Amino acid sequence: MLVLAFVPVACGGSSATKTAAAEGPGVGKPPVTFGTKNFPEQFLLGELYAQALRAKGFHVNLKSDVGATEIIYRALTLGTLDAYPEYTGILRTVIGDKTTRAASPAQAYNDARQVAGAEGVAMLNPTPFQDRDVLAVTAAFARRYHLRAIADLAKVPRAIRVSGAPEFRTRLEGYIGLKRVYGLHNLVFRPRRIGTQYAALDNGTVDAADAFSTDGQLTSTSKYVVLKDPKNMFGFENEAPLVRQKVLDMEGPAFASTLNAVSATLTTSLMRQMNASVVLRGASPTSVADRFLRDHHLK
Amino acid sequence: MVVASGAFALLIAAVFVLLVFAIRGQRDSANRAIRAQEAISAGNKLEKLAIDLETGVRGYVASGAKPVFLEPYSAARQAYPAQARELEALVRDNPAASATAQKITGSINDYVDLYSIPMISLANDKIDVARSVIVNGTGPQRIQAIRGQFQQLFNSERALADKRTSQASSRASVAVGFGIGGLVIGLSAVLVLAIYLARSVVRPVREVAAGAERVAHGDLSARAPDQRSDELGDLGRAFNTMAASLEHSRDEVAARTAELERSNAELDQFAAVTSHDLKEPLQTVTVFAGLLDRDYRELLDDSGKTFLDSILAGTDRMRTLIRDLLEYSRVGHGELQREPVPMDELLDRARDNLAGRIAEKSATLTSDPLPTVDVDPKQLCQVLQNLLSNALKFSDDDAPEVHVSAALFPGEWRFSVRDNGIGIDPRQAERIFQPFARLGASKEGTGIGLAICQKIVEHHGGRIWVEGRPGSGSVFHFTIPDSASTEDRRPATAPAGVGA
Repeated sequence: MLVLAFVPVACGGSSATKTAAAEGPGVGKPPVTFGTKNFPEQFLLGELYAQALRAKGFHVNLKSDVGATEIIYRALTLGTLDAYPEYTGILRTVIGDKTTRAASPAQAYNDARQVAGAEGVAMLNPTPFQDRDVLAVTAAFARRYHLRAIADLAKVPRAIRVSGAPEFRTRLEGYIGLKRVYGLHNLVFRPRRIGTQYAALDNGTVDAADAFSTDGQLTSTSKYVVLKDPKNMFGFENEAPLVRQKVLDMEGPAFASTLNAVSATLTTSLMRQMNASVVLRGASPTSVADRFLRDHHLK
Repeated sequence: MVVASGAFALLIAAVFVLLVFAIRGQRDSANRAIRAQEAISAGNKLEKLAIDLETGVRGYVASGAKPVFLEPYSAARQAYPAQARELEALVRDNPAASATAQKITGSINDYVDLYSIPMISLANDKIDVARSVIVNGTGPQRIQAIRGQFQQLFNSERALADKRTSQASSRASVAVGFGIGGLVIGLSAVLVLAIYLARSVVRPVREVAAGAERVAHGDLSARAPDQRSDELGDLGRAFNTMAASLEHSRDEVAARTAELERSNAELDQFAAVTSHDLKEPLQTVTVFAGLLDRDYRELLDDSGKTFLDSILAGTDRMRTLIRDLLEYSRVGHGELQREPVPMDELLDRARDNLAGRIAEKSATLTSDPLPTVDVDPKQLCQVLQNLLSNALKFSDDDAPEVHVSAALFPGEWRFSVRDNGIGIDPRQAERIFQPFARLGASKEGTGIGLAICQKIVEHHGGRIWVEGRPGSGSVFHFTIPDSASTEDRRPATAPAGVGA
C-alpha cells in the first residue's frame, strides 16, 4: 500500500560517503547500514536520521529505496540491513499479521514494538506525525456539500467517484471499510495510480481520493480538505526507526537518543512541508533534511 | 662538411626518435583499445551475471521457490565478485570508468544484500507475499539502473579508447609527416652533399688525375688546382711541385743535351776544320822533307840522317792521325744510309781489305753464317774491319785465329769477334773505346779505330763492349737492333752474365 514509483535518483546510498564528524559519541563505533523504504518521504526520513547520526560521529551508510516493508524488514532480520524507518500500523498488520484494528496510536505502537522485538529488532520512539491513508476532497467540493468527516459524504446527493490504488478496492482500510464502517453506499471506485489522484481531483475526474496524510499537496488547505476519520478506519501509522538490537547495543545509547531526538520534532505539518519541498518543488532530500536539522539544532 | 654530416645525423636521429614515439604511442593506444575491449567484455559478463541474479530471483519466486530455479542466481552470485574485480582492474587507468565500475559493484552488492537475499528468504516461507511483492517490486528497475551504469561505463571506455586511438593516429600522422619531411630534407642534404663532394672532392681529384695523365703523356706543364687549404689542396700542391720539378729536370736535361750536342758539333767541326787546316802545313813539311831526303840525304852525316828519318816518320804518323781524326769526326754525321745488308758480304769485304795483313800474320779467319741486318753497309764494314784489324794487331805472331759469330737476342742481333790474342785487362775494357787510347804495347795504329766502332754502333742504336782476360784472348761484342722485331732504336740492356 505504500509502494511508490521507483525513483532512480535516490538509489544506491548517494550519501553513504559523507564524512563523519570528527568528534561525538559515535566516533569509533562500527559503521551502520541505514535503509529506507521505496518512496520520497522515506528518502527524506533516511537523510534526517543519517545526517543527525553523522553529526554525532556515527558512521552511516545510507541505502535509500531498499523496498517495500516485506523486503526491507526481511533484510533487517537477515542482518544485511541495520536500521530503517517503519510505520506502526504497517508493521503490526503486514509483519505481525494483526487482523484487528488498533484502538489507539499507543496500542499500534506497542503491538508493532512487540512484533519487532520478537525478532531481535528494537523499535525506537514514534514520531508525532502519522503517515496513513486519508480521504481527501477539494476544498470547493467540501464547501459545497458541507463536508468535514468521511461520514458526511452520505449527504452528497449523487454518486461519489473515489480514486485509489487498485488494492484499495479490496481492503478493509479502504473502499470496503468506507462502505462497511461508514455505511456509504453512493460510492463508485475509480482505480488510479498513486500520485495522479490530485490531478484527478483538480480536473473533476474524481470527487474523493485516497491519499497519504503527509502528502505535500495537503499543505494547501485552500485546495484540499482531508475528511476526518473519527472511527480510525485507516488505523494508526506513526513512524519509528527499527534498529537491530545487536546494533543498538554496539552503537551505544547515543545512537537511540539521537534518532529519538529527530523523531520527536517530526509533526504532520512539518512532514507535509518537507514532502512538498521534495515532491512538489524538486528539492533534494539531502538538502531539505540538512536545513531542517540545522533549524532544529539537531546538527 | 663535418657540420653538415653532424646535422644530417641529428636529423635522422630526430626522425627516428619521433617514429619510435609514434609507434610506441600507437602500440599504447592499441593496447588501450584492446584493454577497453576487454573491459567492455568483462563488463558485459558482469552485466549478464547481474541479469542472471534478477531473472534467477524472479524465476525462483515465480516457480514457487523450487530450488532448481535458484541455480542461475546461485551461480551468478558466486561468480560476480571476481568478475567485478576483473572489471575494476581493467578500468583502473580510466578514473571515470573506475568510479562507475565501483558504483556498479556497489549497486550489485546492494541488489544482492538488500533485495535478492530478503526476497529469497521471503519466498522460502511466504511465497504468496513474495509473489505479490515481486510483481510490484523494483527488481527489474534496479537491474535496469545497473545496466544504465554499465552503458555509462562502456561509453566512457570507448570514448577513452577512441581518444587514445585518435591521439595516437594524429601523433602517428605527425611522425609520418616528420618522417617524410626528414626523408625529403635528408635526400636533399644527400644531394647537396653529393654536389658539394663532386665539386669539392671529385672534381679536384679528377683535375689532379687529368694532370697526371697529361704528365704521363709528356705534358709537364700540366698543373692541378692548389688554392684549397685542405688535403685536396695539399694533393694539388704536391702534384704541382712534382710536375714543376719534373718539368724543371726535363728542361735542364734538354738544355744540357742541347748544350752537349752543340759542343759535340763544335768539336766535330773543330776536328774537321783543324784536320783540314793541319793538312796544309803538314803537306808542306812532308813535301820538303821528301825533297830533303831525295836530294840532300847523302850530304848529311849519320845524326842528320837519323833526324831526317824521324821527321819523315813524324809527318807520316801525323798524316795518319789527321786522316783518322777526320774519319772519326765524319762518322755520326748526316743520315745513315740504311739498307738490308747480309753481314756475310760485309765480312768478306772487310776480309778483302785486310787480305795482305791476314796473309802476313798467317791468320785464320772463320765465321758462322751471319744474318742480314738493316744498316749503313759502309759504316758496318768499317766496324768489322776495325775489329778484325784490332784482333790481328793484338795477336801472337804465330797463327792468330779470329772467329766471327752472331746470335739473336730479344730485339737485337749480337755480333761477336773472338780472337786468341793477348787478351785485355778488364780494367781497361772501358778505356779502349776512347779516341787515341792506345794501350801500352801497341805498335801500330792511331788508337782511334775502336772509338770509331763505338760511334758507329751507337749511331745505329747498338752497344759495343769487350770481354776477356789477359792471355786468354778477347771477345768484342756489338749489337744491332733487329729491324724485323722492333723499330725501337733505344739501346737494349746488356744481357745478364756479360762482363769480366
